[in-house]
Amino acid sequence: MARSDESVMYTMIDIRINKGYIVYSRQDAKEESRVNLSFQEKSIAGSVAATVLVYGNYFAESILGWQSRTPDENAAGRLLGTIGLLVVIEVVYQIVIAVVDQPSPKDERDRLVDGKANRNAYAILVLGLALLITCVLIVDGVSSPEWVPVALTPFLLAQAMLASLVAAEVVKGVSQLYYYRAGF
Amino acid sequence: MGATGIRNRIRELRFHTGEMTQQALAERIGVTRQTVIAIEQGKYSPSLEAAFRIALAFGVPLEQVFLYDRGPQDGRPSS
Repeated sequence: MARSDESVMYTMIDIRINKGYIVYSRQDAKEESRVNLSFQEKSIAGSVAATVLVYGNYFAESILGWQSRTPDENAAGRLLGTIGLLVVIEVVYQIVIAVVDQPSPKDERDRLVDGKANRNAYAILVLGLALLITCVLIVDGVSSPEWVPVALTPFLLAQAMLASLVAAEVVKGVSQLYYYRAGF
Repeated sequence: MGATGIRNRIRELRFHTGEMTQQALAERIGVTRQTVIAIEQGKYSPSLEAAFRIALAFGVPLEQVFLYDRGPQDGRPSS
């Protein structure tokens, strides 16, 4: 049976059992229907959106610059600016939702969701780093194959590691949202 | 995902306890309202400690709040 049907069923049973409590039943129906995003979900969704947008823009610029063979003169500054922008967006967003929505301390379910999401994020991080280590071993090994299109400079390695970290962070957020909605 | 094999009578017990709200129950057992909703909907099985606190909030034994559906993987108790 669908969840919405269950809510309706409860309301109907309440009315039938005790006609004097119709008002309470309506109040409860409203309470049931108020199952929208919790404070934790809003916080996570905002963080994921900000991470995807800000780092998406950063990596898009990096890829375009690499494709046009334009030397990135201010690469470090651009990275610091990106991190700074993300921090500012996160702080402002968290303050806004804390004012609008009453923040609630994490309970046992939140901690379990965190743990499961961290497990998924760790798998992505390990996969990304394993791929990177493999690339380094292939390119800078005894014989660097000619088909490798790019030199693995320290900056490019740092970019790749950052991409792994960002991907892990996004997977963590998406996993948290999934577990909150789907249950486990 | 979501089906845990554990059913509960929390919604019914809330009704019989002066239509206790989900928020009031959440505050009594020390979890968020979203967690109470997830437990009611069978999307989350609470810890044993939280389960006892829920039973205590309604003043009933644990087995009157939570019911476990035996599955094929559940063996017969050894004698």
